[in-house]
Amino acid sequence: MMQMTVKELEYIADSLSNENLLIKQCAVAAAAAGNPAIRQTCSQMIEVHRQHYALLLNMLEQHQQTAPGH
Amino acid sequence: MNVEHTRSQNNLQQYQQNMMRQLHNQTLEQPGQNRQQTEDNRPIPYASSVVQHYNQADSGRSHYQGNQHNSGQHTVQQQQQQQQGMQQHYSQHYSQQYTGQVHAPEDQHRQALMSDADMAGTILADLKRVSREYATAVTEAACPEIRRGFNDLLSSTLQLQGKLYELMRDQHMYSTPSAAARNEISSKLENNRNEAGQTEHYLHQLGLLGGVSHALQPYAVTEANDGRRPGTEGSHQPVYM
Repeated sequence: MMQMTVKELEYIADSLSNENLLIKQCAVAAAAAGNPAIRQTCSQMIEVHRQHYALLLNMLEQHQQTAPGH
Repeated sequence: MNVEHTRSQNNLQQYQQNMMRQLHNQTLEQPGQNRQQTEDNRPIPYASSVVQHYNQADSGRSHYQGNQHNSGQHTVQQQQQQQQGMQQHYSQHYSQQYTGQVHAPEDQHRQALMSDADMAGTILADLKRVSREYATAVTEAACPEIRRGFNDLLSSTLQLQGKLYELMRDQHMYSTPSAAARNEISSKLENNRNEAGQTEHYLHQLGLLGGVSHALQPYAVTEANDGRRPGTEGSHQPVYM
């Protein structure tokens, strides 16, 4: 497996922030919206964003071993 | 290092407390309603998420980074401590104001700080932004596994965006875009067909100059051109005319 580049690491870090924020935004809408369709869709989206988050963390884990330094 | 950390943390807390006070004054229009906790223990989503918002050293939040001296080295523990400290102060602030609770009917527990359309709209805008960022990440990934990962994330995010957009449209939360006029479409069509014709001409010219075979022609031989292939006769007329 190739080593992760600095740029790739930055993109993964930014994406983790994005997904984290989206999880919270969907949670807000799922809890506070009056419209039930909105509540349902947003609560489904929470799960998808959590999976995205896990995928991104996994990318970091995969490349941790081959990274230079300690 | 310890002294500096304490000082920077105090500055941070001070800043956050000032911000929370300002926010408190801005957003609470109806005194007497306890927003700390509703009767059925439904959380106060918008308010509590705001607390966490101010506690994070996100890469995109340059507005606050001037006050976060250890932004590059936040440990999870530090963040949690800050959050707890912040939430304690926040709850104290509220309980001082709202000791006399009004037990409002069920609907009022969902007191909207933001409309459904706006909440959905912010998510939609974020999904759009995140899609663009994933697309950029795909193009800038060196490692094929990482590229594939971002590509999957892109597809998935686009799917979510599409779903939310359709939902908002069905719920009439989105102003319908106006239809393009037929004459506009026709003029674009004609202009671009002409452009394509000129480009084809250019390609055929290159083909002739380089001695490249006419296997390059993109159009099938049809009845319209009587089976004649371009370049084999004197004129350089494109195939489809």
